[in-house]
Amino acid sequence: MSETNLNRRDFLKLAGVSVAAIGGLQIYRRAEASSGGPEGEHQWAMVVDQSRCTGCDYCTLACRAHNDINPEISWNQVIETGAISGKQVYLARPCMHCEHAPCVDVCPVQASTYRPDGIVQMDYDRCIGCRYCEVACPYGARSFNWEAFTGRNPAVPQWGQPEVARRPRGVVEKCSFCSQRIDRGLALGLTPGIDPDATPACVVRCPTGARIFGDLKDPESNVSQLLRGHASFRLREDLGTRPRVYYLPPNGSPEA
Amino acid sequence: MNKRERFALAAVFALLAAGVTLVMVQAKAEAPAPAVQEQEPLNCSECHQDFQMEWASGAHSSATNDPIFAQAWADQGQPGACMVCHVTGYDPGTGTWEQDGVACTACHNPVPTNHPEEPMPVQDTTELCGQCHSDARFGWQEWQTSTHYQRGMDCTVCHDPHSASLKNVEGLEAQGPSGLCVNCHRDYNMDFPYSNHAMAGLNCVDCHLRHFGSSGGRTIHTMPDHSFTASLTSCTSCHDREMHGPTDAATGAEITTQAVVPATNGALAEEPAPVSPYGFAGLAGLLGLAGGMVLAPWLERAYRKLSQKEKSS
Ligand code: HEC
Ligand code: HEC
Ligand code: HEC
Ligand code: HEC
Ligand code: HEC
Ligand code: HEC
Ligand code: HEC
Ligand code: HEC
Repeated sequence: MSETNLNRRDFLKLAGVSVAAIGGLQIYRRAEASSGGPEGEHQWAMVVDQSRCTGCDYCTLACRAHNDINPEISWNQVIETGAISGKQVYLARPCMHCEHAPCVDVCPVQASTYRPDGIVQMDYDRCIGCRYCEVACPYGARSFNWEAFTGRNPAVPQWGQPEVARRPRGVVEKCSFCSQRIDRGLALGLTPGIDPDATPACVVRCPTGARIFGDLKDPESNVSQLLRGHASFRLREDLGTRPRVYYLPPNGSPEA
Repeated sequence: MNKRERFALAAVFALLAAGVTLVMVQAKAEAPAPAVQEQEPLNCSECHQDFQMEWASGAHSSATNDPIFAQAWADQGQPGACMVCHVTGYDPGTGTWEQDGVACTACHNPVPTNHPEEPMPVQDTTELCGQCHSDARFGWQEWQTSTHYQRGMDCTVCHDPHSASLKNVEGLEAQGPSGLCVNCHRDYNMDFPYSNHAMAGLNCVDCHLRHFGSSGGRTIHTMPDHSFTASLTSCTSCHDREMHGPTDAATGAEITTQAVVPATNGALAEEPAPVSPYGFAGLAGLLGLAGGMVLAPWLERAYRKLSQKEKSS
């Protein structure tokens, strides 16, 4: 009995040491924060219903306009994943806003941090452009600004009004769950996920209602109800990143 | 002075002349613009230039001044009833209105005083457009039977409310209005490009948005059928002869729309565009180049004299 216990503990120690060796000292420094888990008043999450997604890319375009993104970069990609019984299936991929985010762990200057509401936030003033986070992200959600974005944004005005400043050259950028919309909305007493002015632009713009946004802490929110009533999955759950983006599979079939 | 130096000097002259001309001409070219812009207290165009420009390019901005409307309105004795939809802020009591055309505040209201801190209302709903695009003017019943409507889609899924035209999706512009359909209905476009219809130049809209119009041109206040169903009547508009010989029911949709479109286009392009500022600048540049070439020897001599004086003093 006690022997097996010891062995297991030894194994865990070994595993711990090797992880620390791979990740470097950063992980140790950040261990406290990354294991913190849910803490704020809200815990935002997104549900993407693959059975409704037609791959039209309106979400990507709305994102590009509202966040004033260089057309060569995408915070939100819609990927064709193949067909199920003759029908195309698409995978819309924003930032997963992981509960245990590898990008936060590896950042040497704390430019990527957790907000109390679970959003993984970029501080573009702190970012030194080392691109560790871009490599660490298992979802490919981050992009590097090789050039400053100047000139017209082709997605404006058809797909929306820019709401945030453009990022300078030499920083890594990614989806923010449109935190600017959430923050302004909350300040005005609106409810993200219900009032369009307080909800991420991709969710508002989706023509088929394939994206749903809300508060996991509120058991009556649309996301909580959906996740209770439907089978769902997250991307690469095996990595232990605990993403906050959930997928409802196409027509109840297993992961595409 | 060698040839290269002479050219360089001339080029400097050319650039100088071109630059000065460009600045002067542009200042002039910009002047007559505000014809459209005597506007509301919170001037939207100050901060939303892109939207303003998009809007100014479309039918909503010209809903009052459009010559086709002006003509029809005058012909009917200028009834106030028309203004409910053709202007912004119509007051039936006095017969006056705030602004020509379907302006920003026709769709974005009430205007909050402390915008942009407070959001401007955005009604992204079918009902907003339905205030004016309704009933017989639009084919509301047909629209409500459509799967699109029933699946909760609104008009702005396909239309840009500002330019009052269809949205265009990057990369699919070449397919015209059907690019929109193809973008969402990829499955239906797998084999279509190889069909005889596609090769004959047909697209989705030709079958799925039949025009209502009766014979003799698209009548005012008629719209393409927004039920998006293709029925036998869509086929007969082209294939009447292949079935039972010509029928009265069959009228070419293309021919009738064309009767309206060129008229509107002509009206929009009425004012001849002035010669571009760049044209003027180019001309000035050439003159500068020539001037520089001619003046170069004298300039060089003057420069030498000057530097000699400096050395000797
Ligand atoms: C015919 C109705 C209509 C008119 C006229 C109109 N708008 Fe809009 N506007 C809308 C709708 C509907 C939306 C929602 C977004 C969309 O569907 O493109 C919108 C969205 C916007 C947005 C925000 C886009 C976003 O998603 O962030 C701005 C800014 C805007 N309008 C400004 C203007 C200005 C400025 C004018 C006047 C020049 C104007 N609008 C005139 C209907 C209108
Ligand atoms: C002082 C500059 C300014 C003026 C004037 C202005 N806007 Fe805005 N507007 C903004 C900014 C900035 C935003 C983006 C706000 C955000 O979301 O952070 C915005 C956003 C909007 C939106 C999107 C919804 C929202 O509020 O987020 C609409 C619609 C809009 N404006 C319409 C108008 C209209 C119509 C007018 C004229 C009646 C107008 N605006 C005048 C600066 C302005
Ligand atoms: C206040 C009334 C009003 C509202 C609200 C309105 N429209 Fe219009 N719209 C008009 C009028 C009037 C015209 C015709 C202008 C003209 O050609 O003289 C027009 C023209 C158009 C056209 C072009 C028609 C053509 O024949 O070329 C489109 C497309 C359009 N509107 C779409 C929309 C959409 C989409 C909305 C909702 C976001 C909307 N409109 C809301 C009054 C309105
Ligand atoms: C699924 C896409 C779709 C939706 C949704 C849609 N339309 Fe259209 N609409 C079209 C297409 C396609 C045309 C034809 C344009 C053409 O043939 O150039 C059209 C034509 C029109 C026109 C005539 C303009 C012209 O250029 O001939 C008006 C006005 C119009 N639509 C208004 C509306 C209104 C109002 C709504 C909402 C109640 C709406 N549409 C919803 C696709 C759509
Ligand atoms: C933004 C995406 C989008 C656009 C743009 C769009 N559609 Fe659709 N369309 C849909 C969806 C989603 C459905 C519902 C399909 C379902 O329920 O299985 C639908 C349904 C339909 C149907 C009825 C299918 C049925 O099962 O009843 C037809 C016909 C159709 N669309 C034609 C068109 C045409 C023609 C156009 C171009 C003018 C167009 N659509 C543009 C998304 C779109
Ligand atoms: C030659 C005429 C024609 C053309 C061109 C055409 N269709 Fe159709 N389409 C039809 C007919 C007829 C039907 C079956 C009747 C119906 O349901 O509307 C149909 C059915 C459909 C349906 C399914 C409707 C349903 O009830 O299941 C969709 C979606 C559709 N078409 C989309 C498109 C798209 C997208 C294009 C352009 C790439 C296109 N069609 C071009 C005639 C046409
Ligand atoms: C309920 C709203 C409404 C009323 C009232 C209305 N219109 Fe319109 N009108 C529209 C819309 C919407 C359009 C654009 C769509 C279309 O062409 O059908 C339009 C388009 C037109 C056009 C075509 C303009 C063009 O360039 O193609 C004419 C002409 C016109 N209206 C004349 C009138 C006259 C005259 C009256 C009064 C007897 C009137 N309308 C009353 C909504 C209205
Ligand atoms: C806008 C005009 C137009 C409409 C609407 C239209 N067609 Fe056609 N159709 C054509 C033309 C042009 C050809 C000739 C193509 C060729 O010979 O290469 C054609 C050819 C055909 C053919 C023989 C060629 C083939 O594809 O095998 C059939 C069958 C046909 N159409 C059926 C239909 C049906 C059914 C509908 C209604 C759902 C329809 N068409 C609607 C223009 C049209």
